[in-house]
This record gives sequence, structure tokens and C-alpha cells, in this order.
Amino acid sequence: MGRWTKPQTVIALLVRLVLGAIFIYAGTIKALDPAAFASAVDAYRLLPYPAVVALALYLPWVEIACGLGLFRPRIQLGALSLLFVLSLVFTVAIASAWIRDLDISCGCFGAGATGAAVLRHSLLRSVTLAFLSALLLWREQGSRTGGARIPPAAGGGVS
Amino acid sequence: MMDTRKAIFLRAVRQAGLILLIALIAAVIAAVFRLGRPGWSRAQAMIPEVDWTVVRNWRDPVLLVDARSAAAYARDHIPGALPLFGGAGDEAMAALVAAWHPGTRLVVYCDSPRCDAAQSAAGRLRRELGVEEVFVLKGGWSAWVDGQNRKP
Repeated sequence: MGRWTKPQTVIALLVRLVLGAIFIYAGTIKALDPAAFASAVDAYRLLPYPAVVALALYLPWVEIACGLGLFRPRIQLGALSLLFVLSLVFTVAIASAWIRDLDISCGCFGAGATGAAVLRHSLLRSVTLAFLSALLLWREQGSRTGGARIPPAAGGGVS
Repeated sequence: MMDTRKAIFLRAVRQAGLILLIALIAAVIAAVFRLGRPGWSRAQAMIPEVDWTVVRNWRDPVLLVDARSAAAYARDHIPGALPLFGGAGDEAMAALVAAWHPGTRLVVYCDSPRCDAAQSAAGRLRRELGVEEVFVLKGGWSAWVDGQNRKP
């Protein structure tokens, strides 16, 4: 794994910005209205209610912390790993709702429209998020194993 | 090579743990200081469901709220129902507020027994308008249509 050329560094930074912005935004909306988020999570019919409430109170802050963590070099790797795992979990949950033909909203960004078309769209988005975080994770990991210490991408180091 | 991979994995796990801990602290602080947090029992959070046969016999005035999509509402809806367009439009909300008077019961419906739009819209109406008398129509639009077909 050699040195990364400049375009890749720029693209990686852009992807990181987009990922971070999406998760900070999604987390903030849900953290401001945990009751609405609890109702959205409950609609998936996957968890017992107390677990739904606990998740509704906790998950938004995990998303915010991960989103912010992407821009702190010391915890970047952990944040990326968590984002990857979260996106996978979201993908499985949305896919299960879609397969069970539930007429619910994703709940990803607070209350929204419902229906199979909306879920398909949300599914596509969570798969994209998983792919993007996997890409960054692979790059991050590659840059470390390669031995050649590259400076953190411009902007990413500002903290 | 294996060692560096293991080291990276451990570092990722350590950092992830730190992030989860920070998020937990933030979540606990937010939960303690916020008043409108959800209750721990489903019965507390869920809006009660009522059957159409029950609603029909209510003496109190009833305002029906259609929580399905705008397209579905345009195609057909329960007579007198106001649209909420999937629970997203603020204008629809304003029209509802204008139509609602104290003592009027709100009955929200969506497509079928498997839809959640009515529950979330009803919850939002109760939280944001402070209306206590909010209900969800059991079985939604499909149950109402069945009821109409069976009647004659």
C-alpha cells in the first residue's frame, strides 16, 4: 500500500465530511425528540419496549459522537468502525421491515413519510453509508499497515 | 503483518469504546435534564385504538385525521377527514388546529393494520397540540372500507 495520491486524499476528506454531517444531523434531530424516535423504533417491532426507549435515548448521541469523532484523529478509527457497524445494523433493520411489508417510516431523520418506496430509498441510503464507511476504514487501516505515515487529511486534523 | 492488524483492531475497539462511553454520558445527561422523555411502558406511549363501530356512536364531536399519503387522500378518504400527508406538513397541521375545538375527539387513521403513520401522527398531535382525546382508528382505512361494504 503505497502513498495515496492527492485526488484520493481529497475524495476521502469529502466522504468523511459528508458522513460526519449526515450522522451529526440525524443524531441531533433524534436527540431533540426522543419520544418521536422511540415511536419510530417501536414501529419496526424488533425490540421489547423498554429496550426501544433506551435505544431512543442512547442511539442519537452515539451518532453525534461518531460524527464528531470522524474529525478527531485520535478516535477516528473507532468512529469509522462504529459508523460501519451502525450502518450495517440499520440496513438489516430496514430490510427486515421492508420484507415484512411494514408500512412504516425509516425514522432515520425523525418523523417522515411511510411506505415501501420510502423504505427502499432508506435501504439504499444505509447501504451507501455502510459502503462509504467501509471504504474509509479500509483506507485508514491501509495507511497504517503500509508503514508510511501519511499526514492526516487537511481539515481532518483541525480539532 | 498479523500483529499490526491485531493492533489496529484493538485500537479501533478501544476508540469505539471511548466513543460509546462519551455518548452514554451525553445521553444520561440529556435524559436527566429533559422533561418530555418517553415513558418506559408501551401502554403509556401508545395512543389507544378504537373500532369504527365505537367511533360512530360517540356523542362528542369527532374530527377525523387522514395520516396516509397525499395521493391516497386525493383518491378517496373517509368523509369529513382532514389530511395530514404522512405526518410531515406544517400547513396541514395549521388547518387541523383551526378545525379543532375543545371537546372534539381526534381519530387518526392510516392505510391498514400494518401501518404506523397513524400512531406516530396521533402521538405528535397529542404532544404538540396537547389534545388528550386522541385515538387511532383500528385497522385504518382498509377496515373502514370493509365496514362500508358490509353495511348494506
